[in-house]
Amino acid sequence: MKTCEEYASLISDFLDGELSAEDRAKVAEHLASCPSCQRYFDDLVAMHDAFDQIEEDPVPDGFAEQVMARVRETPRTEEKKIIPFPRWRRWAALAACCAIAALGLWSTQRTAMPQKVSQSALAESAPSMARDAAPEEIITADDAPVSLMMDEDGGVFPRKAPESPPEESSAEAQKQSREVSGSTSGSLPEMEEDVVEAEADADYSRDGAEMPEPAMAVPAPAAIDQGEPLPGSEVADADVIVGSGNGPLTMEQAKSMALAREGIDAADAIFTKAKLERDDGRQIYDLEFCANDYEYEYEIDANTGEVLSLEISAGTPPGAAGSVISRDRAQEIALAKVPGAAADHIRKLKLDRDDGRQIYEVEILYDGTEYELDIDAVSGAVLKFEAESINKR
Amino acid sequence: MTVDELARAAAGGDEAAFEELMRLHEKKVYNLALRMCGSPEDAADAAQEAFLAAWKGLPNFRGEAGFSTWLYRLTSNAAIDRLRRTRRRREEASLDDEALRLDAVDGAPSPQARAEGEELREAVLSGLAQLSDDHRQALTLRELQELSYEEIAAVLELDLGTVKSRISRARGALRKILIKNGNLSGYLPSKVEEQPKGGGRT
Repeated sequence: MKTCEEYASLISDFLDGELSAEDRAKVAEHLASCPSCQRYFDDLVAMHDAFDQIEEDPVPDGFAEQVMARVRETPRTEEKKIIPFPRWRRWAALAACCAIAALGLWSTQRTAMPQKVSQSALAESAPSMARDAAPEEIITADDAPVSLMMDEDGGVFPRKAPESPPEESSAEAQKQSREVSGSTSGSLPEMEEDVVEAEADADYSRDGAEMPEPAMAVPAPAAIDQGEPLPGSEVADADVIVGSGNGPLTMEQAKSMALAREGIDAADAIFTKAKLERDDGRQIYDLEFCANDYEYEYEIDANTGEVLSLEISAGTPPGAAGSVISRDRAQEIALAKVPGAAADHIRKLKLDRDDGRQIYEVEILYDGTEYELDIDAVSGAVLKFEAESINKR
Repeated sequence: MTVDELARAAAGGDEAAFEELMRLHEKKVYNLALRMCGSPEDAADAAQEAFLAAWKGLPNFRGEAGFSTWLYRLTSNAAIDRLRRTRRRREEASLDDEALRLDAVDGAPSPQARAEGEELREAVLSGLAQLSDDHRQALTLRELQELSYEEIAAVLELDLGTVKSRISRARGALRKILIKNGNLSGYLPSKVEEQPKGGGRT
């Protein structure tokens, strides 16, 4: 004979009409003879009726438009990953080369004027530029890799890998100038002299230089020459063009920029949030990603590429794909926590992501008790264990 | 076009079809998120995330469960994600326990809403907000979204038995809250309510 507590669950099903005819009759019969269960049932009905009368709230204004705006800017790829490197870099390198070539041409124009101004400019750039107007003939003895970085103001400056301040780059360029110009031939005499003089100065002062800060076309020739992806160049290369005021950033560009600023490879980062938001009339990319035991939060102005805010915290390492324990293993761990339970007591076994961490959610129904476990998918640690008797009211 | 046809078109990249799907479901999705999250802002965010997830996931969606069911699942997940994140932030900001409860909880009904039915309606919503996430989720899908047990089982990826027991326990928990707040009569014979001495099981 059932106790009233056992009837509680049935009464709930009874209310929803989810019982067989036979069970319905049984419950009805019990209700007729049991005042407490009748009261229980009456209360459930009262709550149900109250729910019934609750009307749906209207959807906020502009909701549909906001969603469609985000839909339109979402690339239809299956994974939320950055574009694979090779394509990215090649395009970026090409773009960077064009930029540098253009700059090279620009500074070459200036060498026609026999002023200290242009001499300083020469000192910064590869020596061959001083000799010829054609950048293609530039050679360099140094094949140090160069990369371009965008700083917070959107300015472009070269960055050697490994990192070194611009001054050092200029020093290398100076050395290059010395080496190469020594073997010069067929160049205009005054040009040669100019170059030598500039080297003699051998200082980094840019007093007379009208070149914009910071130094632009340093060992760039290496890149032009090879026409290959700049070794050591970060994904930010493409941002060189975009961030220079050519227009708003896409989500992918914003992500790349954030990663590049941190020197993080796209493959090492897991984005837990990538969202375009509106704040004070400004469009902002709100990005969160985990990499190397740290959590990064970036806010980037979608139109100017300006980094508005940045937060780095030591966070829980994300469960990197591939290092997640198997479902069988998770099942094993869960069952070990519920002595006596077997595989067919498992009601749910699901791999989920919670705050950047991958977790197996397991539910076991055994011996009148419902168990809920959260198991860290990387370490196998049991993060949460709850047990509740299903017979309790 | 039927929902499934729209879903197929949207999976192929048809944005207009997706917009149609969204307009068909937005009210339900938003309201589910609202009851789960408690605040309109969080609900709007969660609902947006759900639709975005649907847009991104449609190409892979095989349609065993039906688009609406799947969308409900995405909504439910997005709402819970949102809840967890909000709670984590609040915990980090070390607010006291009171603040950790959902925003919508406002104990006493307004003086204007003293009409009998209104009072219970507000109490029920308020009580819903105080339930555990799992209970609130199950009860919302049942009582507000009016999904069948099978549909709920499909949305939550649980088996029928678990759904039934969850709904039943959610109702019991809600009832307790309402009795404590005086919205339901306090008459409770010993067998039904837990004994203060500990354990109501016979």
